[in-house]
Amino acid sequence: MQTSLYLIKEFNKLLTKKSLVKTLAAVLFLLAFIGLIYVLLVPKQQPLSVTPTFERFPKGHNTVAQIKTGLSNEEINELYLSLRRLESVESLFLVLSKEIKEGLLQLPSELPGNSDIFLLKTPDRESLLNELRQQPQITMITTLSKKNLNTSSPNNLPGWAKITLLIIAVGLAGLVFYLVKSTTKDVLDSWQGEIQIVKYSGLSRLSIKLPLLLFGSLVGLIGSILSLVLLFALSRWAHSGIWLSNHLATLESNTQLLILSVWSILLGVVVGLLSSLFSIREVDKKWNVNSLDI
Amino acid sequence: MTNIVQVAELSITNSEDELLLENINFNVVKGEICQLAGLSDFQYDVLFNLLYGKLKPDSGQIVLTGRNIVRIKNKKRDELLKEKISFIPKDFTLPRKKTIKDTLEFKLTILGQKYERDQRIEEVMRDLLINDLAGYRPKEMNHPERVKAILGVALINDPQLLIYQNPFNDLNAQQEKEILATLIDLVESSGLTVFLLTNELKSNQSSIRTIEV
Repeated sequence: MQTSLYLIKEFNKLLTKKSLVKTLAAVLFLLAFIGLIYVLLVPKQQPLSVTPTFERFPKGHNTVAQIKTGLSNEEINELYLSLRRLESVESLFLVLSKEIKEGLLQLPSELPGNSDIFLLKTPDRESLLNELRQQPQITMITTLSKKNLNTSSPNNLPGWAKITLLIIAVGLAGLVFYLVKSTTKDVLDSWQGEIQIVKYSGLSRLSIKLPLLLFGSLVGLIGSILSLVLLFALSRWAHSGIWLSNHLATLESNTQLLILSVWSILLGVVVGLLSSLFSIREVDKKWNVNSLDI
Repeated sequence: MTNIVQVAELSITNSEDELLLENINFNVVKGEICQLAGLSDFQYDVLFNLLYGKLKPDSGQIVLTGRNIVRIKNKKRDELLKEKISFIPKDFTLPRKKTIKDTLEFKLTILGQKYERDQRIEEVMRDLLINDLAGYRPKEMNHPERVKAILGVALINDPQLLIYQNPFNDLNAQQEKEILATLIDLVESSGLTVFLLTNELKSNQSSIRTIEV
């Protein structure tokens, strides 16, 4: 183990400026790859569709709070009053589940249709979200931007656009593979002497492969963490009108972020690890340079 | 006299049943410098790989430092490489970007030697008369100096046996003689055994035994 750690340190020493630029490019391509996969695969929040009846309500009630199911009318009434007293709430409306079923309002997909909801208007969105989170009887909060009401979701992308995005994603993954492979090859080319010493000192070739595998996984991990940071930042700026951020408005307030984090990290590490696995054959070539197969 | 290398009735064929080595027999005594002559370059490659354990013979046995290499498990062979036997293949290259001192330290570190590294490095460099080259990289040295540095790498972990294929390639007789003289001194002072896989040495050395096969 100690030898492996030492060799990892030695491997890092051999990363030249050129290799570092390649590594950085690999991380950025991986970030873009995960972003595209997210756009293509993760289910998006459906935009609120408003019926003519609903349009009669005052504008700006774009925060949806789902009420815990099974509450009595009195409890809902008490909750309504307590929410009205909140400083961050300018006004609110109760929409019952039966009204939703009647087609008054189509809810975003993450909200179950059998729940009563409040529609809230606020001058201070951040405070409202914080205060609503402290209400045990509110189970989910969704904030919709004006853009949500007007623009279409990426889920509605036409087939050709999805295929184009998929091809770009595959291309980006290919670039990550190429860059990781090329970087490890550069390092291995200047590591021929070390490899021979390791070999004839009775150490296994895994000692050489381990730093490479770690390098690839690390590129994947950093790329996926950066992509998460970006997605998280976009979700924070959900009302800024940036494309994609519109579809991330609820990311902070539900379990999607956790699931997305796990998947992104797994995807990044797997792509990075596979890239380095591809370059491991180079080790075998260098390892067997003095060996004879008859 | 103890034999540190014992090769008996060694034969090997390739996948097309062509005989590569046939009934090879020889012994190397502990504490001597010995040259094995009479093989082609390819046969030396085959023998080197047999001694290293990469190839298995069709028949015969190879005993190095008391262990039968033919039957030994890889793990045990690796232990021998770590502690008792050093191999230098032909075309061995030194790490390009490391100084000689760093290279020697690299080998000691990967072998897990934690203590008295500097002392050991200094000792080996002094014995090989390369103590002035500690901070030099391979490209900054001439060929004889590089050969001595390679010997330093092989000897840094104080092995009992050194097996060196095609040594002193591209050296003239004078340079070869100087390096051999250094090796002879080392063998006399440390009890090391040196086994050279080469057809001919350019310089006449009475203290080197030649085995003809």
